[in-house]
Amino acid sequence: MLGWNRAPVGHYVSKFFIQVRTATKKAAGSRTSMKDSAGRRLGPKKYEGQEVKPGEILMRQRGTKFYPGENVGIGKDHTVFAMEPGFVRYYLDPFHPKRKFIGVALGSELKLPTPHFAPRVRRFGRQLIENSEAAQKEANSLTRKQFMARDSITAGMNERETRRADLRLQFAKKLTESLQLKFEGQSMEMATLYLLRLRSCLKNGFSLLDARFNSLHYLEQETVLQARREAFSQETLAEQLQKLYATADKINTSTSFNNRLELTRYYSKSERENLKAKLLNDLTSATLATRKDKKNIEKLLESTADFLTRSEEVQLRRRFLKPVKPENVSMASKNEKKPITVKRFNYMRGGIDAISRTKSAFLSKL
Amino acid sequence: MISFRQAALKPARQPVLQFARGKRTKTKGNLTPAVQRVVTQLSVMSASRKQPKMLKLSREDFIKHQTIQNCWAVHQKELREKRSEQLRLQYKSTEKAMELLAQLDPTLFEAANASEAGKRFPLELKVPTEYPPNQIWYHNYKPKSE
Amino acid sequence: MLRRSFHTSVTKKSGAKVWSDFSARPIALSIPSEKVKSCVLNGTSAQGPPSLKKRSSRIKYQSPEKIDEVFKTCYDFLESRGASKYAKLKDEQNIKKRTQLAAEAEINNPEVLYNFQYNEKIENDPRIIDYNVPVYRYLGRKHWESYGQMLLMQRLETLAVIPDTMPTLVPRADINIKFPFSTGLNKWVEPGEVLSSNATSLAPAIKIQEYEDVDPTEQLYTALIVNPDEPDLTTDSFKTTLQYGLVNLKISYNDNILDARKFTDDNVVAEYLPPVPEKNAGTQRFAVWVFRQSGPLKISQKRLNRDSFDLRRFVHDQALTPIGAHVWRSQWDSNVNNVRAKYGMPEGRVFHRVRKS
Repeated sequence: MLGWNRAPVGHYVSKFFIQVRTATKKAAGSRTSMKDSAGRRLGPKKYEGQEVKPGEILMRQRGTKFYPGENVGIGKDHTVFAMEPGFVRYYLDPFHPKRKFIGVALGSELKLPTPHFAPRVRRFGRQLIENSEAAQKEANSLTRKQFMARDSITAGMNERETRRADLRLQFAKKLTESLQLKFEGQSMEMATLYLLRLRSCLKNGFSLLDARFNSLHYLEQETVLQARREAFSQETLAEQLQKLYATADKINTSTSFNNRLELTRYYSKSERENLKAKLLNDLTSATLATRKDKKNIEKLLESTADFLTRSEEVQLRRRFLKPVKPENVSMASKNEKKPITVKRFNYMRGGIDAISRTKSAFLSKL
Repeated sequence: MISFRQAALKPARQPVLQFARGKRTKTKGNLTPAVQRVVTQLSVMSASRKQPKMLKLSREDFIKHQTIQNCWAVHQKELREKRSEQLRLQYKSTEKAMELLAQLDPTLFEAANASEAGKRFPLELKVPTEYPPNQIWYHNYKPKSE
Repeated sequence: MLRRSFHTSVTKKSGAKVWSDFSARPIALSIPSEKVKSCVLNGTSAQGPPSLKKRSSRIKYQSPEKIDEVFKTCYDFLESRGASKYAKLKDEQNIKKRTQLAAEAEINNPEVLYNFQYNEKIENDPRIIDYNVPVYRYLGRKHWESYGQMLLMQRLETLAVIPDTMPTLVPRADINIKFPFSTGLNKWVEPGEVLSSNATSLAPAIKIQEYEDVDPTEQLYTALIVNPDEPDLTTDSFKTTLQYGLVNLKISYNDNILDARKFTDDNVVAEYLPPVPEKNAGTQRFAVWVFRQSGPLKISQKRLNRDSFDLRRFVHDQALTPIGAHVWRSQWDSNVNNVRAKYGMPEGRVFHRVRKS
């Protein structure tokens, strides 16, 4: 709008018009003022003492103005909802003095929070399947993961079972044929079961005493449980147990497992020591110069599994059957025929050393 | 290996400087490009990666190391305890003396306890020394005429 | 001002060789291997440290410079301090302080440190780690507190074993369990592990490791296994059942794995019932609780209400002090029916898969 800027009357009149340009267009608002949204309807949806069902929303909020208390969950937008049927409680917890909680008490008379050292009040909430057919169906149902794994698990189980049966047959054969122990019928069954258990315990790293006790205790418990199932009389049970103890005792005193977990005759501790000392004596007196010597030593070390531990066996083999002898023996003299020469970098000197040795230095060349 | 290292570290012969457009005239020291590359790579690596590997001690040496550390800790603890005991006794005896002074002469006690706030360096603490002298500069010094 | 070196006079406080005279000391305070012992105490020989098994690594290995000389000085220093502790121990009457002094006298002994650091601590060999010796009890407790105890408390709290079974626990003894009889498996169970019904079909062996000063000849223990998750349909909630109960048990510091060799039928107040969770009834927790007794208990098996067992009341009535706990979990699996048949139990109930409100 153009207009006159009037001078006050009675004073001098201006010789010029002073032109003023005023706004002709409405001002645009600030950048953010147009973005208001409708209210998000936040706030409590259920109040103190109100009865709720699982899944019902108790509070909509931005951030955790209220924290989920007992039997209550929280969503990704911090919506607080009930997880159990019950009565809504708004409460404070002395363990979190700055927080307000919403909880669901399972009974109308219960207060929250439940005292810190008192057991939680819990609801089981599952119903029994009354129909026996439906129950059977549910009992047999598997999850997808279990279903997929079932076949391989059963196959593995069957394989282990057959292996165990094989082992038991082997044990039975060994017991009767080479060890001449007269087990028959039930006691043979007990003996092979006991041996099977003993072997697995030894394999799992139990000491011999523990393994014996564990195996016996297992069989004892099995017998006691069988007696309870089949309502044995006291005498029958006692008789059975006596038989078991006798079998186990006989096995303990007449068999041993060697370090490859094969069944052998019994070796007492002193016998083991004697055999070991004799072997060591034989080995130290033996020389290793010809192929015959080598075979001799190998023969000595062949059947040591019964009275040596695995590590002792390996140690002896390393000590007496060295693939290459140390360099203080069997070095080739100058006029040796066909010495074996090894070239090797000498870091101290910074050059290559040629080391000639006789054939006898190498186990494979004997 | 040793000879190679010597060759690598040998300074390159100084080339004849010939001006060419766009060519660097400033050399970074007089190292060969190979050595220069190694230096640059090392300067890029963080300090922790340039440190030697952590010591791997055998069991026996680790126990020895622990024993040495324990010994040092025990020794330091003893020193600490001795010192704090001494300080405690010093404090106790000062306190006793002040109590006695308060009984004998309350005014002296007050004077001794007067606040010294604002005093940056109490002159009483200065130990009398010969140097610097009281008269710092002889303004009217004249050399002795011969 | 703390000085950076020490005067040689500090080591010469008293010349008593308290750590090397084994006439009146337990053998466990010495390193069993003669080679290792001499390497630690007298310096590494030219062959290198014996703990390195391969010859090539022994050749490659280099000890830090001057470590043996410094070690010698430090050993003398620490031994003299140990001697002064032993001197104090002679005049001390208070039992608690005596144990503390005895532990302090040996705590810096390198042989003790070696034995404890490099040997099995749970299944200890009493010739190497002897928990009758106060210093090993001290070290054992520190080792347990550094991990095992924290793990146990975390599992007990997150699985809500406390407060569902007992109000709380101040752990004082290390409890470990193992199921060696059912499957022959040789493994200590981690607290909170889910175990198969086959593994738990026979009673566990419970290890109670005491680190505190107790009188092993007098002190009696109770061990209970409870299941706080047995469904109770009448109240639509859960009840606690007693799965296993042992009382008046005696253990020692070293020999403390409780299996049938350690107790008789008189000690069993509740025979072991294996976990047999029902289909869709959820995971069940089995809490092992170990208590110190104030005296011998007399409990009749018949009067014990195993089916809905009130652990808190039992503990209160019998004046028991909880010292340790353990927990494992069990779920329904396809073997549960076999276990039920073995124990002559009725077939399990089947629940709906979905919880109803």
